[in-house]
Amino acid sequence: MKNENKLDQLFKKGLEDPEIPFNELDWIKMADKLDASAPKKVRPLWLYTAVSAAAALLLVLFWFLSNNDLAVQKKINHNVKAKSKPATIDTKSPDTNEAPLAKSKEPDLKVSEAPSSAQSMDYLPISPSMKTPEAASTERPMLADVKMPELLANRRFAANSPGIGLSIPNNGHILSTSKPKEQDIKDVIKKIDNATPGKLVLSILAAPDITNTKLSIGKKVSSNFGLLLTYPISKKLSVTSGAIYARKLYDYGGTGPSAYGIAGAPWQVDADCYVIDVPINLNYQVFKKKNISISVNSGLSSYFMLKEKYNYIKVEADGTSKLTALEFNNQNKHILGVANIAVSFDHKVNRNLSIGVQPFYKVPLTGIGYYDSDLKSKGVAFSISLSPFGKKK
Amino acid sequence: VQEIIQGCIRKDRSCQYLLYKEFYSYGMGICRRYALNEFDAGDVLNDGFLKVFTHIDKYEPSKPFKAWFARIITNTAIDNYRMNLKFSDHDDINDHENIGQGAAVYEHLAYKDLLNLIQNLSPAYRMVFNLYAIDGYSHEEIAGVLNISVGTTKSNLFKARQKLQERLIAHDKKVEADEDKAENKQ
Repeated sequence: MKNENKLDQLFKKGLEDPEIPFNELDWIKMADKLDASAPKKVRPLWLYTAVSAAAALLLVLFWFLSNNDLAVQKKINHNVKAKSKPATIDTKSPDTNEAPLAKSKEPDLKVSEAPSSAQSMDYLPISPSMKTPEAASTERPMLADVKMPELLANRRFAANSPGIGLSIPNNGHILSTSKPKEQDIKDVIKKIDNATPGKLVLSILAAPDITNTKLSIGKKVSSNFGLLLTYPISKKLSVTSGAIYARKLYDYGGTGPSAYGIAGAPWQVDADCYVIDVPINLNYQVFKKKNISISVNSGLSSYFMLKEKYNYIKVEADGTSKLTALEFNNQNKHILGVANIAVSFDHKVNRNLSIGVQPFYKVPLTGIGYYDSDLKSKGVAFSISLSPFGKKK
Repeated sequence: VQEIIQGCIRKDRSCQYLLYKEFYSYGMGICRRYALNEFDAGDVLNDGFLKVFTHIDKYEPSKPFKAWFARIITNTAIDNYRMNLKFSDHDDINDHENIGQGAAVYEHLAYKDLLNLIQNLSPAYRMVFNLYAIDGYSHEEIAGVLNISVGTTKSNLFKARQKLQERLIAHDKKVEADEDKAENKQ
């Protein structure tokens, strides 16, 4: 009685129970879904654990490295102090820059400040005996006399001590009259160089890989081409991102469930997917000697599925094969859905160019593509890296 | 079917496959009406089937399985609509029951044509029309599941019928024009 509308009846009658042909591919996806929901599935747990452990390790390394840098810088400061003969000049100027922090026991460098009209770029720590420009006027050497290691050391030390710095102009003066030996200067420069991050690097890569799922039958070679940018966080740690265009070819198959004593029919899916892979990886350099360096890389990738083509082949009971072809465009994306693990071997050809080989392994943290495939890739990337952006300071 | 259901309770994959195959067409029919397109419909169907397989031990064998199954699939389609809610075409109109009374002449329309007409409705209209006209929900039930007022469900139903009627008329005119063209050629 409720619904006597004829339009409603027309649609109800026409749409209520249609005959829609069964699509085996939908069942395959369903079976994957059932597998994924099964409580016995433990793989993601260890995978997530492994990825978390890798991330934690990198964080610890980063922390260690940062502290190490600071230690090196402090050591350099001490070296500089030891090799200098600071000339203490005691002047009771009313304009003195003595700060409340002046009681600090930080090793001090004697500093004088030039007129404020000059460019203010460098920072030095305040020390109890920091002097006024007037105070130092008698025996202060000009910048040209200042030893580069000291400047660099001071610059780096001060840069890591925000909030306790005192601005001095580039043409300011530093009280130092000693002349360190040439070897000492080289040592200090080397230490500073080791603690300084490298350059921003642009890499072009080509990478064949084998992509497969747990039900894969054959091994097809997939191809990847990409453009990556590596940003140095410190001398040994860097972060890489960019875009990789990948064509992933793979297959998988099996035998359908048997029912009523009749054996299941064999089936196979041939997949051809075009993907944009956007990785975010952390790299840690574990070895460097001359022009060779080795790094470990770990991170996550996002997959943007541009095109997915699936050919489903089923062998019927009479022996004939039935082919169903399906194609999806821009239907799926998996944000941070794939874990990346790799090792990079790089050879520096010259100052701005290096070549590299990188065995890699990509493990999905989620189902990939329309059929939620457990899509793993292992391969080797060949890269050419350029440093067109100059030295990072 | 009861035997297959028992197998599904035991999580026997063969029985799950048979149940899936048996109710695939019926379930997909529901999903296609609610979903934007065939791809979404496939996803909704599998989400619904996952709920069916997960909760099949709660099914009471004394009641028809098809109705229990349809309810789960429809609820999944509603959940999917809620998750993708981007449209809100509604206002309050209480009495528009006279729309669509002359639809009997369109009974020749095929499943594909009707589905196309439904899928071209805006999601808000499509939901209310499906729930009310095809799946037999009352306005109060629809208001409850879609979290809108009864007035809005009535309004959306009215507008959905109006759109469908307009498109049926347009479809009919096109068919007539095509027939005229064919006669002229002869």
